[in-house]
Amino acid sequence: MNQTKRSVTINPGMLCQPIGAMQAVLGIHGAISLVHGSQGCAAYPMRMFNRHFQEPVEIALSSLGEDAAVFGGADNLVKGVHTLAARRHPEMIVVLTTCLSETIGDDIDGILKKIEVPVTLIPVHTPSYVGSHVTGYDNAIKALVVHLAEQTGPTNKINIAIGLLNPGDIRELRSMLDKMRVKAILLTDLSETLDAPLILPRPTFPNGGTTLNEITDTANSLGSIAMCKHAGGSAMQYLANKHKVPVILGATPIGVANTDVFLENVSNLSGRPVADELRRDRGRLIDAMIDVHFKVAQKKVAIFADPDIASGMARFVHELGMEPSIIATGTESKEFVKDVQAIASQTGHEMEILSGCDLYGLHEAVKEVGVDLVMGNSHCKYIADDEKIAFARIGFPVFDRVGYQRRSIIGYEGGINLVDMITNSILDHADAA
Amino acid sequence: MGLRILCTFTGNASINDLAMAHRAKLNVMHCQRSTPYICELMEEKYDLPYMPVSLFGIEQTSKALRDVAAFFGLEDQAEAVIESEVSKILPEIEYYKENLKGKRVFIYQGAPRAWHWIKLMEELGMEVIGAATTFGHTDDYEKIVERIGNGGLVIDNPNSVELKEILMKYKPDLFISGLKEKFLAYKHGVPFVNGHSYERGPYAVYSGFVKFAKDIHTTINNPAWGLIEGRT
Repeated sequence: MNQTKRSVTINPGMLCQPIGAMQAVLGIHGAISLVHGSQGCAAYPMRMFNRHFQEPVEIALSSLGEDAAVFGGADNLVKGVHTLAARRHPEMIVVLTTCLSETIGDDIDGILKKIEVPVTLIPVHTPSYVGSHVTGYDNAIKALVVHLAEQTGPTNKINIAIGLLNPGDIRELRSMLDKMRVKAILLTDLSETLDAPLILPRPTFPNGGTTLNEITDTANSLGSIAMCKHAGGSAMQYLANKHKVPVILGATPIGVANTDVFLENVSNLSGRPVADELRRDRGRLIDAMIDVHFKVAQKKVAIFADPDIASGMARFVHELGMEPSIIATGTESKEFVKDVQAIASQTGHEMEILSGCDLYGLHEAVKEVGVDLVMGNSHCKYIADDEKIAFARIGFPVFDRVGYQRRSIIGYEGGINLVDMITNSILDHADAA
Repeated sequence: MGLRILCTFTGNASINDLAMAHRAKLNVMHCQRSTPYICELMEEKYDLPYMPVSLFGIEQTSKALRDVAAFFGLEDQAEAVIESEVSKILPEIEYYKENLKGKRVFIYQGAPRAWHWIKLMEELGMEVIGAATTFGHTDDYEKIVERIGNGGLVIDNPNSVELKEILMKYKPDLFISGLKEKFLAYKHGVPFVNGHSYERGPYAVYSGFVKFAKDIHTTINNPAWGLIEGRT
């Protein structure tokens, strides 16, 4: 179904570029985003991170007002960088543009070059009228490697671009890599920074996170994998072109087949075999899937998430014996459509593919197709409620239930979490009905 | 008290309610930062007088009722309402006061709540050691400075670095602010109540005061604070 050509968006299905870039920076140790924009460009993303991760976040702002909108925001930016460097002593300041500063046309690359502070300064262009939070994350990771990656001599590490995932996912990834004894540089690692233990005194910057040295070292790795090719893929491609680091883009290791491929890729790049322990984890996931198959089989599912998560989830619900009927993302992407079409032709399911849809469009599709389960962020709850169907929370933001960010959806363990989540949401719904 | 409320702006008002609002005899103005503009406009255009009130805590809520009653000549009715409502909540408030006596509070709100609540904290036997606002003007700060005790910290629009310094240096027993500050307080081991959107509110008028006191008591006495490694 082609989306109706509406001249208005109703309940947007995506967030803006700077939010994605901020999330990327939150996974770097001692780094801080400085948003070159007006107050709301920092305040609302902060609230969103607070609610989803249940953590404090720090985002700096050049606080553009009416004057700057007319005369340019260079003064604000220069003052902002100096104040932030003096007051917070970060290792790196990542300056993110916004609709406003891009429209003014402030030359942030030029402005930053002239500032002398003992801090690494990285400009990232994230105009919100192009792409989505996914594009913003992709742009930020690319800017980091473009500015920092440097060939100094080969290492035995691999690079993994994470994408817009959660602390639980990164812990699961680390556990898989540890089991294979593979050393990796994660871009970026928010597993500690956005799930920090409550121990006093609190460190100046949260412990953990990807270090600047690690980002520099990405040029020397054995190879790169982008777990979400839309979010982190450009950076890995850049490392391949510029520093000859072999690259593999996607698919996100959600479900059995995708995780199998991912681990094979890790094995091929690192030269380490897939650990026996992981074969046992795989067996436990499949055991869990068989256990519930009568409860979930033939249920029709609508999936709404970022492109790579949505296509990964489509393959997994197929593996569960369910019917992936609507696969939707708020970020417009031809690549996504191709990916899902490939899954449809391989699996024989009829799939409604919505690329760049808003939640109104998703709701219309849900009504038309008629599904049993909606999987999506907390905003999708209202669609499931209205249609009186089951609902499982995935994606960003999830703020009306606790714990999603702590659990993984990737890898075999993540698959088990998803089996439980999907099955219980169907059972809870049946109980309530 | 026998008063008819035509419109509550903006609490769940409908467009019809708003269209009726100017036909009231009196505008009662609660948010004294964002609403004076509209109250002044309505006075100018519809000859509708307005009256600033605070509905937080016993003293301020009772004063609000008395002021409004005096305007309409309903003094006896107001006294009856005050007596019956206050007697309902007083035992519970006394209990919380006993338990919260001497606790030190830092408040960071939009603007008026910072000074509305200095009085309210006093009614609970607590001491406000610092107050800050995001949008406060000179008149807000005049009221804060007038109400806060000697040596109190008053700061305009603090950022997270400054808030962190305040939490670490002054070690308040309670921090009241909004969602963005909530997890910062938690991560420093400081009990916190969300004063913007409330925890288990609403906190206005007599019944809300009890809810507020209960939330404050709940967070300060939560057992998990005592389990934090390194908390002094």
